[in-house]
Amino acid sequence: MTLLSLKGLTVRRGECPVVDHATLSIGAGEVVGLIGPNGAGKTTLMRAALGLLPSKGDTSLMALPPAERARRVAWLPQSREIAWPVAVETLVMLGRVPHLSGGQRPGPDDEAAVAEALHAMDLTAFAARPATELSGGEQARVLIARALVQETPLILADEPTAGLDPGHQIATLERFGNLARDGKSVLVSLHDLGMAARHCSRLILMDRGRIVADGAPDAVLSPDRLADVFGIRAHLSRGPDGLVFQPLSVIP
Amino acid sequence: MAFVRGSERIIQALAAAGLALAAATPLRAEAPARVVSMNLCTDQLALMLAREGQLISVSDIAQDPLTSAMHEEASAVPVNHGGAEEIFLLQPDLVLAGVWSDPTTVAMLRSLGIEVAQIGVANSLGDVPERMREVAALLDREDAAEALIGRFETDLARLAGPGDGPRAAFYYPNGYTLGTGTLSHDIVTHAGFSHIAEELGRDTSGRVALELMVLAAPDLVIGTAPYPGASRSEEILRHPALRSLTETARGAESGPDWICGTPHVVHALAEMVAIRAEIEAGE
Amino acid sequence: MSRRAIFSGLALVVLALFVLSLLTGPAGFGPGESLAALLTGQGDAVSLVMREIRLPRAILAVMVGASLGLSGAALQGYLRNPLAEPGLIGVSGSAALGAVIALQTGFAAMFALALPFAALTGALIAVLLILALAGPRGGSLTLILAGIAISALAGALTSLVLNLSPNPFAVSETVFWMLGSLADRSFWHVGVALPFMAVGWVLLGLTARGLDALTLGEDAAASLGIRLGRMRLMVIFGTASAVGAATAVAGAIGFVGLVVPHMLRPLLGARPGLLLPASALGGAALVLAADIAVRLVLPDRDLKLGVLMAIVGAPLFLHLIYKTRRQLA
Repeated sequence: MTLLSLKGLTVRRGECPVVDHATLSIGAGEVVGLIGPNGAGKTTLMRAALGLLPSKGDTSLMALPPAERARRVAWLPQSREIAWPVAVETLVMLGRVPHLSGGQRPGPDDEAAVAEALHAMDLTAFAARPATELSGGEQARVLIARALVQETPLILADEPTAGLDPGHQIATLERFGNLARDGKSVLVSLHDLGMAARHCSRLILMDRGRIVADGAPDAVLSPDRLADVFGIRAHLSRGPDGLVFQPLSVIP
Repeated sequence: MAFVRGSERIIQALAAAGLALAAATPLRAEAPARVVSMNLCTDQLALMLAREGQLISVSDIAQDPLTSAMHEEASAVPVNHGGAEEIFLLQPDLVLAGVWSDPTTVAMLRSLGIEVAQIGVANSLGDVPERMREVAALLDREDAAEALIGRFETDLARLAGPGDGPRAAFYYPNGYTLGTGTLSHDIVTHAGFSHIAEELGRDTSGRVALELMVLAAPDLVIGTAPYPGASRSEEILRHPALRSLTETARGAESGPDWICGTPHVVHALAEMVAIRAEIEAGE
Repeated sequence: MSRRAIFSGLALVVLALFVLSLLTGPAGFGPGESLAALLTGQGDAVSLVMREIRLPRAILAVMVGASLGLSGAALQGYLRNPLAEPGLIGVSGSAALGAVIALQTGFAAMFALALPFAALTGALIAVLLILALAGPRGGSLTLILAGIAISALAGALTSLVLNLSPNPFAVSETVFWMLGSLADRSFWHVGVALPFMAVGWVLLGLTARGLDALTLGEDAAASLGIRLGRMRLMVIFGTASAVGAATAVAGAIGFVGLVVPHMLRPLLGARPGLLLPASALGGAALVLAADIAVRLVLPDRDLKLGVLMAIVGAPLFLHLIYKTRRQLA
């Protein structure tokens, strides 16, 4: 089943297309890495897909009313805003809002989901602490937990691993892998090509608003593409646990 | 008014001395030909006492029917707005002002060499003839004054009521009430009412809480007619608690006749005496 | 402290202060006599005082305080800024301007609800201006500056309108409109304010969940299914309605919406949604307490409520600015 389908999605800022006729489709059980240089339009693509930006073209998510959409897809923005010093577990509980109607209070199911997400992101010790007192990396994990707790078939995440320790970066992406195994999907934009290569089953490469490649990591990360889009030479090989990718030098 | 006659001579002498000091000129040899008044009460005293053509300007308030008892007479005279420049350009021989007139204006006029006489507020019925004599002396019209004062005192005697009559209270916008040391107090007590300011122990005027007014439950509540344009200060006069008070009690309005210490207070007195008769007849 | 304990505590405090307000006044009757006259009075002077003077005053204090506390919490939740407050950002001042214009042009005399409606319009213009100038993307500095500008303009225009009035008392009323007072209010004021306040309370109350979600930022809140446009309208109209009605009958009372949410926030885990009803109760308590204090401190004078509020609120405001100065500079 298709969890997300974009057809000819275009976002213009003035005359310039920030996202130019993007077409893609994501089914169940995938971890899709969205990669590309700065300004390629990755964040804009995801926000337009969610209907947070006006756009032309089709996105399957906009066919749903906002409440239903919130139960189908969770969005983890790049700006990690936490406006008030609420307790970590309260913040994570906000992910349950789409499942609570009107003035309904969270029930035992919701609390169980929160506890599980906190455990998954290694935050159980911080449950009662005000979220604003945590370090940047810890806050990032709290916000990821919020997205997990929303229990949606699809998660869109914008640079969720930026600023995290290597261990937590790996744990997060492995978590996404687990979700995929359960039949859910994650579209995650990443800057770290090594992580993307290793943990994603599929990569989508964007350059200047266009999708220029969509497929398996070793196919997408071909030397031509790397030179063309990123201007680098890199080492790519298959290790015992997965792909190993390391940028080597800049092409003058 | 025996006590007034006795002290009156002393006060007259003091006023004359004060005038001499303020003006720093010798006592007047001839009557002033051009008199300007810049205060509502001196306007009216001057209108009553001045010779034909002696009074050349009155304050603009003198023409306001809501405030001035002599607005018709005042409409025949040009007005000034109390500014030093305006008054100076009229080249007056004498300016009549109140003791609460803008001190900067008064000082400015004096420094320009103009004589300014500041007449005090009348705080009692006894002050009325005194102020008249004071102004008359300045205008050199003592005889005219004596005639008016004679009539005034006859009317006063005629309208005197016995004490301990019904209880009266003043309630003005912003909950303002009057004390015992005021002309209005004298008017109602002379007409035979007892004024609740004595019960409340208030000799000065000021704000009184609505609660206390309601509890005092006077037989007569005296207020003012509303001015044009709305004001929140006047809202309190429409408060339901006050309204139920004035439903059982009488309401009355104090108009221009009450404001200044002139013989016009006789009209106010007459009204009060009539109301008192009505109240006592109704009981 | 559990949520239930906090809300019960607040409700008890409001109730106690309400009774205390009924017992406070220049007329010196004892508590037994007062309450007896209130409940069973026969139209004599004491029951008249209790029912027509003290009771509407106490009720209005609760209504005004609840409106100001609630709208302060809502504005802070929506703007994600603890400095937002209807008095400070010029909403109360503009409401006062609307009320004054309605009174002086005679519009207020046309139908009973004309006065609060005019105040609501004034408040609405201010809220729209603030959101346009310092909306969700704007920071503290922009908010305070916009608030200063709007307050100053509204205050000056209010003074101008009153100066132009043919009524000699109008000019002195500037003080009432700028500082606020509950003295000698009657049930007419209660009746006139209640419809608009009720609408405001409902609209603001419905934003609770949205404000909670807004903790994560606008994008995340939208992705959680919150309709941001609709929430924005509810905050705008709810604030304008509640603050407009409160200002129409009691003048511009500042700082309530600043002090109350600030004090209650630590007790409620900083949750914006819970702060709404808590701030309504807290605001009622604060205004009741201040109204009692003005009658005890200077019983003969009509000390304006705003004076006490400023004494309490302005130092707090300065303290908050100091604490957040790094973000401001």
